[in-house]
Amino acid sequence: MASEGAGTAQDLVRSFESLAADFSTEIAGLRTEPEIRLAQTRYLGKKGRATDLMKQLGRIPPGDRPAVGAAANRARESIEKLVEERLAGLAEALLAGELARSVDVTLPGRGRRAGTIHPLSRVRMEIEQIFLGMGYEVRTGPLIETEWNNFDALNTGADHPARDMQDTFFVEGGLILRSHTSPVQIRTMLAGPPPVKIIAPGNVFRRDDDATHTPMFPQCEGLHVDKNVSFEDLKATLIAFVQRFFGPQTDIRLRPSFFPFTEPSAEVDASCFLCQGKQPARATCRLCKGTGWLEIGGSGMVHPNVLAAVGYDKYDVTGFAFGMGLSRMAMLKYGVTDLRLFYENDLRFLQQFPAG
Amino acid sequence: MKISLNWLRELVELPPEVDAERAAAALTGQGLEVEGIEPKGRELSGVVVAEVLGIRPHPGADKLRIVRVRAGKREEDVVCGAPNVPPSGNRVCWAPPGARLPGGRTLDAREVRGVLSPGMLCSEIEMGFSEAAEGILILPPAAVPGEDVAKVVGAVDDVFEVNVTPNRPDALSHLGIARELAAHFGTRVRLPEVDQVPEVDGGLAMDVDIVDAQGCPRYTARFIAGLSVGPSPISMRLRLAYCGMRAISNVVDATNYVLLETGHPLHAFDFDRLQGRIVVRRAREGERTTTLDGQERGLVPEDLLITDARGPVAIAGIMGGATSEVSAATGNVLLEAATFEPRSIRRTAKRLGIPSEASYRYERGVDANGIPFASLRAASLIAKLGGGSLVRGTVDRFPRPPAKVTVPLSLTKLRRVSGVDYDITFAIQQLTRLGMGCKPQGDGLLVTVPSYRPDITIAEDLIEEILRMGEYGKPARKDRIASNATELANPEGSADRARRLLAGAGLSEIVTWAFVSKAALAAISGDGKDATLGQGITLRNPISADYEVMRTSLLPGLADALKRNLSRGVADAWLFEVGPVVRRAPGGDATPVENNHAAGMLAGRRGGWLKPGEPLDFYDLKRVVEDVLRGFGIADARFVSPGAEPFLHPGVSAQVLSPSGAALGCLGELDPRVLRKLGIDSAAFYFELQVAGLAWATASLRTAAPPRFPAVSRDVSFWIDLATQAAAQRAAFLSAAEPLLCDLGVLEDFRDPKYVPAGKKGVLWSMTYRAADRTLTDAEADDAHQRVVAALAAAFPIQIR
Repeated sequence: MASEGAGTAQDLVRSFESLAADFSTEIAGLRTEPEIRLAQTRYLGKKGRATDLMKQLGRIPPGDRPAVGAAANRARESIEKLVEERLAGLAEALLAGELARSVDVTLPGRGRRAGTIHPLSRVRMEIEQIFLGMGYEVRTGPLIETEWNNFDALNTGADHPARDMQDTFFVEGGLILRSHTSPVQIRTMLAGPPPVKIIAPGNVFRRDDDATHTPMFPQCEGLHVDKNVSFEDLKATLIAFVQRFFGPQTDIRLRPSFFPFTEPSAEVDASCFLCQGKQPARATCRLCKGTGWLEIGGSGMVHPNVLAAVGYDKYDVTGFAFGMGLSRMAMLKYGVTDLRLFYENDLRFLQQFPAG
Repeated sequence: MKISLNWLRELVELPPEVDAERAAAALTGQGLEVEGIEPKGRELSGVVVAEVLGIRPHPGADKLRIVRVRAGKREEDVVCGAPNVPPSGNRVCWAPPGARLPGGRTLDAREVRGVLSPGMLCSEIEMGFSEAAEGILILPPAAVPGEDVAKVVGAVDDVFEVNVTPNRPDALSHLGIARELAAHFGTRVRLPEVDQVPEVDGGLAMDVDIVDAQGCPRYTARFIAGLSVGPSPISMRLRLAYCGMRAISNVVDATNYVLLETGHPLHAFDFDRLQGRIVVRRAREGERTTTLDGQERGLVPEDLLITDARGPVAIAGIMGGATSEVSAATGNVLLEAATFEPRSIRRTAKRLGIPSEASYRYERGVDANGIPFASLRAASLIAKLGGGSLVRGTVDRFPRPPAKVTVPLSLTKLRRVSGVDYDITFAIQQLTRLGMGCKPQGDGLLVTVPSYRPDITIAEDLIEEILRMGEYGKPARKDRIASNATELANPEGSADRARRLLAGAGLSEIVTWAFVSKAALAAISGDGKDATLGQGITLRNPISADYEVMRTSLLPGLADALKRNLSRGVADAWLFEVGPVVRRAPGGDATPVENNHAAGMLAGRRGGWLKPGEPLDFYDLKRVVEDVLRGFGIADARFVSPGAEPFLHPGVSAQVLSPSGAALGCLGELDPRVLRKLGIDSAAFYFELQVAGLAWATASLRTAAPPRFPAVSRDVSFWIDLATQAAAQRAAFLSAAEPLLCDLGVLEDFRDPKYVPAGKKGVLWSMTYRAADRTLTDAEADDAHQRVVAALAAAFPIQIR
């Protein structure tokens, strides 16, 4: 720089001009922001080349100084502009690089998949939800029951032919495995006065084991006892239930039947939700086998002997009860054709029932 | 029960448009569910009744003959090989060319040893009537030549399978079903015609003495003399077969026929093999008898017997005895028609394990007032079929006639139970159709119930009768499903919460039987050393040894499910079950204790992404358990080793305790010895939690706003004794009670013997320090960290690294 010491104003102006040109050359080879900033400091910083040149200004006649000052400003502006453009270019290139990245979106997500809820639980929860919405409480009871709760209190005496309808498991201590969820009715009514409006889901046991029977299976029972509960209320309740469970077009059909603990009694059929009971779909419907109806359970008006057994005033209150097999409901709802699948616990079956 | 539509049509007039489908729909709608309709005899066509005109030998074969037959105007020579071709004038079954037989065979004219035969004469087998026959079928002389055989013998029929509920003994017969149809279609039943047979006075007589009137309210005996036993006519045998009964002989078939027709069991004794008089009494201790199936039966004093001077001749209402059985040699018959007490019959039939058509009906109740007709009808039929005579005079002992049953029905009750404002005339109309008598009484009726309807005893029974004739099917007239319950509890809520949490943690729910094998309980209880697990409540009548004791833990079921999945090639199995286990009550209380448990089983590898994952270990299991506990609001459960359960690996297991120390369950790797006993050849991790414990521990959820000032972290790394657990170190750090310490956790736990001094492990902890009201300075954090580390050093010998 000392060589420029004796320069004239013109020399100085040229020096400033070459300063900008030098910087332009230098910056072209730089690739990162810190390098560029460092170069900028070398030219424009406190100890930079521009400062060195400015120190020679004192030797310039005052009349020439404005021309040199202008040249200095041009050089500074030119350098600063170069820096700005270069940095913007770098940022753009970075962003372009960032945006050029891509993934194979068809590869599976990482981590363990959420588990599943068993179809029998799922269908029970759904039924509970429907009845909770209709003002029913959920009640449960023990698997091991007394014969009184399971039979006698339900108007099914020791010699009642109805005891033939279900073969019971006996355990030690004179107790049995409940053969239906109806003892929960008895326990609930013994526990408090009417009104009672409950459903009772749970596993029950019968000595049957073949393609269409399992020794343990889940049922859900309903009971509504109050003043002026009638057969028409039963119908209305069952219709409301099947329409929520199977769909709003569903109808029911009641057929007279016999259960020791209800009188009058009725079998409950729901119209087939697959073919809607309408021809020509009905004729070939695999679900209802062409009948247009699906058997879903039993029902009836609580027998006065049952009300009497739990100490309710049979002249004051009436009630209805209904019951259904949850395996059957799950088979219908999910198109399961083999009952045994529910108990084989093969994950390839179970994993078709996501939680949620 | 099988019901023939042809038979029904004889007993009730049905409108012409009523076919099998409609009749079945009517019955089903009324509560007698027709589960199936089986068309019969449709495969047989064109076989006609033919009169034998003459028989001559076949020129080419000794065993064949040429039979000249006539059917209508047609006469032909038919070649026949049967040994029993009857003489001229008899009726046989001729399948001319074009006739079809069951199995799809169509007849044509064919040469038989040089003689052209237009079709053939048929046996019962060929026509599908029975499975055994000797020679061709010979029809009664009344059959008109040229008529269709299938029609003449009643082979074309529809058989209903009717599901009769146990309260309806009246419907266990064709007459009973006919009554239902008559009520439905508004027509009347026609009692079957009693055959006109010769009657004689005297000759046979035997007195009857009922010792046990409780067990036998009515006993009648009729006598049929001079008959001969032989096969019954084909139409009767066919009908019996259609209804599921085997033809035996004309006498026995007649009793069975009338049983199916009227619902009254009847029994025919060989009169000449009885001695003295008939006495109806209970069995004596040690008495034995041989029933007509050839089995010797031991009797007990509650069994009701029919006896003669020599001893038992029948087990009342269940099965006749071998000694008095009707045989080919029988010439005189005593026909019993009686009623017995249902309870007594039920017990004996059950104990002896010989349910019969008779006992089935007696158990449900046979109408004593129906006996005279059934007895007369059967006796006449026997006399007719056997060519005998009816002896005038019947012995009828009737010590306990049933009381006339009347049931009051108030209109208020009818309306209250049905929910519909019926008027009284509607009720009368419905009940009258069903054969009930109605008299006004109070605001309703006094209804006289026919004696064949023992199921009707209270007003509700009458209400069902009124409603079941068409009212069940009408749409509901009001909508009354609104809530009137005040509190909606769901006791399954906690169990379902566990299910959702476990599913969220990646496990799949299974459902297994509540009963398991004794071997499985032995395997998980250290061969019964742990009595709680090993001594389950046993079933007295299990289906098999696989299901003989109530599960005391969910482990056997989960192990079984894991085994099955592994054997089917599903290696990555994360399974759970939530459900009750049954354990003996402490203190010998007879009622067992049932508690919901939530258990899970993990086997396989950790989820490796696009590469195989690492094998699972204890901490994968612990994460699941922690997720469930957190879901129940338990953030600070304690994990205490060693585990207490005999089925877990002693070094890789823990008890789970609530912060207050209550047992919540266990977790750990399954003991390899137990795995072997359970048949699983892969490592597996297991936990079991008590749902009630989780629900009970659930605290109400409290939260804090996120901190406003930044935190500073400091690490400390040291050697410490291998046996000093992380929880103990943590407790020591916390004993400093340093107010600035807001979080701490282990970053590393390394035990590589190449680098770690013997008996030691290297642990790296990271602490987070924060003040609630300012940004901490480095110096403040350093001071706090020093105090915290000093607390650990005071508690355990450590070497800072």
